[in-house]
Amino acid sequence: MNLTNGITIAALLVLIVAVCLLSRRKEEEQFDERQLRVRADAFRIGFFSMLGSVFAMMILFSWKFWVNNVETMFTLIAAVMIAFLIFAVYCITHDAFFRRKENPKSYLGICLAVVFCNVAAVLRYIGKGSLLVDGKVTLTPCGNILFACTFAIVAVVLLVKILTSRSEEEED
Amino acid sequence: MKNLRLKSARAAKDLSQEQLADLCKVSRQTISAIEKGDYNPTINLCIAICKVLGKTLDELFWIEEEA
Repeated sequence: MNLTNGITIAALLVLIVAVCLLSRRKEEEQFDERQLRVRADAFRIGFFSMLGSVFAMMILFSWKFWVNNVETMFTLIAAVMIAFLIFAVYCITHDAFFRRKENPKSYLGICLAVVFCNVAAVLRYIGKGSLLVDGKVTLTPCGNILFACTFAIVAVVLLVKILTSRSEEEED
Repeated sequence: MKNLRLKSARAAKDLSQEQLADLCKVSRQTISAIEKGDYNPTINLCIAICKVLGKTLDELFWIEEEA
């Protein structure tokens, strides 16, 4: 087992423990009825966006240039990330991403940490030489760019939402 | 359509949106959306709001048809 695999497994274990701890929530920390309705809409939009992305990617796979230069897994993960991004942005803009009493600033911190880690990984790969593996766009180095971009967009939307909701509260 | 009756009943009780939301166990944004007319609450939430503000459903949520 090399160092990267060890770090990945450790990160996954930490994530599983964190999810288990966070899933035990009190009644007052649940989503309310409006938020549940918005999230249902967001899931629907995200799901159909993913289907649309997969369909678009099937068309791309019929293009020889794409098959020769882009790894299949990268394309599929890109479809999932597009769906997640649409879901997250829809929920954040409709005030349904966070449960009641949940602090959006902590999530903003997590997003920025994910962006930082992925940018660091990209810079490390650039330092080593190229982002392409055997001339192909693959998940390992280029996936970091994908994750960094996705979470950077989520972080920006979150930041805008935090600032605008603060001014809304002042108006009230 | 804006629910000004809800807003004025809340103001009469000297409650902020955040305080009313806490008492009704919903988010502040949900109360804000109801006041702005962007969200139609379920009957359960309407009752919860009425109980907190000491009003009837008619007083807060009934819409009179214009002749």
